[in-house]
Amino acid sequence: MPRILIVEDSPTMRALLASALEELEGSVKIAEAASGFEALRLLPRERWDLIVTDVNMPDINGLELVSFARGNASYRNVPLIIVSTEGSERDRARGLELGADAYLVKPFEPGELREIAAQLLAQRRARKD
Amino acid sequence: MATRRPRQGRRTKADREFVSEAEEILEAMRAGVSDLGDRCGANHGSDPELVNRLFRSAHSLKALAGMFRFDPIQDLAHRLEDVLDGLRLDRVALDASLCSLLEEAVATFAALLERVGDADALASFEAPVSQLTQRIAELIAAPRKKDDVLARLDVDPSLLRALTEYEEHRLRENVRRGRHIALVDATFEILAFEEGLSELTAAIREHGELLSTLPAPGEAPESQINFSLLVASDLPAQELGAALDFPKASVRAALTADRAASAPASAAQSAVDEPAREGAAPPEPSALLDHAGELESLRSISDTVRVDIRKLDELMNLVGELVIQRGALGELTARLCESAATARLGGELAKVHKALERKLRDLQSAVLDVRMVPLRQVFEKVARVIRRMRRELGRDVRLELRGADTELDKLIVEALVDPLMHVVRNALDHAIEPPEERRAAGKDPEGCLAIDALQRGNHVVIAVRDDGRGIDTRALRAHAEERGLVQPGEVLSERETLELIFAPGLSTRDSVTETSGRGVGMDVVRSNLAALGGVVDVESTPGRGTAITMTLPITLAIIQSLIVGVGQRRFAIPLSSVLETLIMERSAIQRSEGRELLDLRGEPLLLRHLAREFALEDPEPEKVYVIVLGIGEQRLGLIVERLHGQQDTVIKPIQGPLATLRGIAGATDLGDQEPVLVLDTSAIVDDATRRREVT
Amino acid sequence: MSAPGKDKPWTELARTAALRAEEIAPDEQRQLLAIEVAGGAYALPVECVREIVRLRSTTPIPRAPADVRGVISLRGEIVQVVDLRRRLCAEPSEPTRRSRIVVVQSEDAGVAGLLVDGVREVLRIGQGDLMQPAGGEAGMVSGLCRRGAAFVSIIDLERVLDLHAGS
Repeated sequence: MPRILIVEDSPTMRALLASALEELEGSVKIAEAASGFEALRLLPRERWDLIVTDVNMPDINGLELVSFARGNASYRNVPLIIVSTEGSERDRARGLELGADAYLVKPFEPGELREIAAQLLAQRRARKD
Repeated sequence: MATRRPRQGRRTKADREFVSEAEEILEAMRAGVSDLGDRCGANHGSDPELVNRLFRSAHSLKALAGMFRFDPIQDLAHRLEDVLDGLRLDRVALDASLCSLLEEAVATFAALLERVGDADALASFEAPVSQLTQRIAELIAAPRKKDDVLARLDVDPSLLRALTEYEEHRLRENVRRGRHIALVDATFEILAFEEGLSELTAAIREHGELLSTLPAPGEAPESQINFSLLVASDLPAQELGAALDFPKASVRAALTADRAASAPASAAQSAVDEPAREGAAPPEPSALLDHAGELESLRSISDTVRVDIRKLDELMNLVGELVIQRGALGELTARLCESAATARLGGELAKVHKALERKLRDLQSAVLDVRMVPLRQVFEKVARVIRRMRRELGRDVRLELRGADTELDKLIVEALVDPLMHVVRNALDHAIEPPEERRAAGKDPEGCLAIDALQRGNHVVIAVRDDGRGIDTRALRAHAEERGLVQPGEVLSERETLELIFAPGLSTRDSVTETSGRGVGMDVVRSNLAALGGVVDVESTPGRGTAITMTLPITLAIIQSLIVGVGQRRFAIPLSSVLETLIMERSAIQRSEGRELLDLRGEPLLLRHLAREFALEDPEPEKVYVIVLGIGEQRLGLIVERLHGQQDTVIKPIQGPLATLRGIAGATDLGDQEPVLVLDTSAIVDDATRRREVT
Repeated sequence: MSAPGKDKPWTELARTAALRAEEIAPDEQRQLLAIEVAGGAYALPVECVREIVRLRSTTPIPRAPADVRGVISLRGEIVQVVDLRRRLCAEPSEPTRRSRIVVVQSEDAGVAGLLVDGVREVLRIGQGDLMQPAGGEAGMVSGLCRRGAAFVSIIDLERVLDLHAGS
């Protein structure tokens, strides 16, 4: 069962992301982190199949989280979707540069997130086989 | 949208989607590149917005190609991204060659897109694409034409890449204002990093601006995490490090002027020739001067390597395990030698084994040597605490520290902090009297606390001396009687009475120890030190002062131990406490005044049964071994059933809810995954010599 | 890129999310490790759990309280193991193949291992799912929650590991 980690400090946004991803085909297991630090603590606990992260968070920002994940052999290949907030195109660009697989700029449709997530999860499954 | 037809039939839906979106992006790029070419031709200089847009297009293309797994397109897009990044950060100049390169790239993209769906055709494009990427790489590698703040930072590029736009802006702003930029590195346990990290960031914020926090895997990625913090401060790095007072963190300067010197000479030249960059001009030349001092100190430490203590720990662990394996090898070799059939082979193996043993000891020494650090840091920490406490306690204490250069294993030094701090606090709390009292006693109103450290052979002796009241032995004894540790009327020597301070349950919950923290008593100090293989002693003269002496082995990790057996269990006894080993008939035990003794060369040796000490089954065999333990002046013969031999052991602390394990200094793993408890010989000897009856 | 028909518009999702958000105060959503002790269902906050290992050679500690089974070697670290069955129910443990040692990190007691009869799964519960303990478990339970139809007792780790405070 794919394990998805959502990193987002706004509780409503978090709930929305979770709801959207829960509708994915087949069952998924979703974990939520309310901050970059919490994500850092949760990362080693499971074998994640997908990480969805916001950029602007109080302690460490999403870019730093992506950089951390990509710099670590255990998470280097975990698909990463950045959900970027208003404003910075540069941050979005940096996110991709740092190794995120996809980016979504808010506002976006739940279907978009699901589609990209499904695609990345499928690719991951295919690579495993 | 797609107007090209060839081989479209071979395309999947995904391909078509990709091509359609890619072509949109490419269209935008084409327009941008063309604009750029115009500006270049007209010598108008670069347009940041335009370059940014191009950069974003290259990005999007790269991301898209990545999602759809079109490697050649992704590669090329990536290179393009690099060069456009360089352009927008002013690292690459806008000139004719760049423009033509960009045009070529766009054309190549278009060609590649045409061939999507046709693997062969795509493959045929490999060569031209790699040529192009080669040329792009060369362009990027060309000497930097303009000096950029980010380029002058001596930090890991990954740290810079992860900066958000705002963070980058703050960084540039701080540099422009001439502030020092420092890099603070600290490693924490993944489960508990937040507390330590917030402590560190709070301290940083007191002295400057925290620009960015970058996490990275620690040395042991499953359990550790490393944080690199970029800090802007008015304090140069070394002062900042001192101000932070965070022993776990390493602080170094991140902005160095000598980086310009290490890049190709032309860059250094242009850095000096072109100081007039918008917004960054004034501080640059003076910044070079400001950092000259730092440069010097940076250079002078360049022949040392900063090593994470975790790496050393791992190294030490590996060496420890090698030593254990060598031990096992030794046993096998011995067995081979014993059997006639294999004796010759055994003999040869024994020679190799001996050589291995020598080399391993050399390795051990070398690694241990790397781990040796001077006590200075601990002393400084103590000094800081004392300064803080002086205000709280309202009394003045002169601190004398000697022997700061004495070196100990880094782990021991770190583990020493707590017990040392406790002893010092004790002294400040109730040993040293308030000034009025001191004056009345004819003493200098300012009390004196002296910490002396010196090396004695394999040990380091650290003595904490105060010139205060001394220990009130009568009160101490009264307390002990209250707690039932001493019988009323029991005769105790001066020394034995003093030793009562180490008795568990005695010094804990008194109001006396309130300032000392959580009521951790001297018994914990003793057991903490025992876990390190050390002992602690006390001397005191009423009215004159007290001296607490801690003796520690210089190196921790690998200690020779005697492995003994009682019943089903095995225990390890550090060889440093063992004076000799004897075999004895049970009948040789003499009884006197409720104690068991052995006549050892005319002297009575107090005996204790390890089995009874630990409430284990004692089969009471006829012949037993007696391990003669010596701690200071005291002697004890510990009776055990079996001797398993000597072994190199790595003593590890026992973690868990049980705080004090009386008689146990730690545990070791002999290589078979079954922990063997290591005896706290000083506690056992102490216990035995204080008690009168055999229980 | 949206697939038609499969989409719930945001408004609907937002409504359900808002309902959830009402029940769940921002930082009160918790994850618990569900375990089995003497046939009963218990749970530990997942933040304290470092890892879960199989039973291994445990060296008893002389003169230690019966609740402490002994020490184990965990990749070189020596860690005390508390017999949770004994601690919670005063019954001695009878280890089986399903028994596990849950290695936890506690604020006061440091790293320790808890011997349990089995490990189940990770539960996600919200503030609204928490209930007061029923009592009768020697004060080591800080609350109750539900797992399907059954009640799960949430263990107060610091209490469990506070061996000096009596049981």
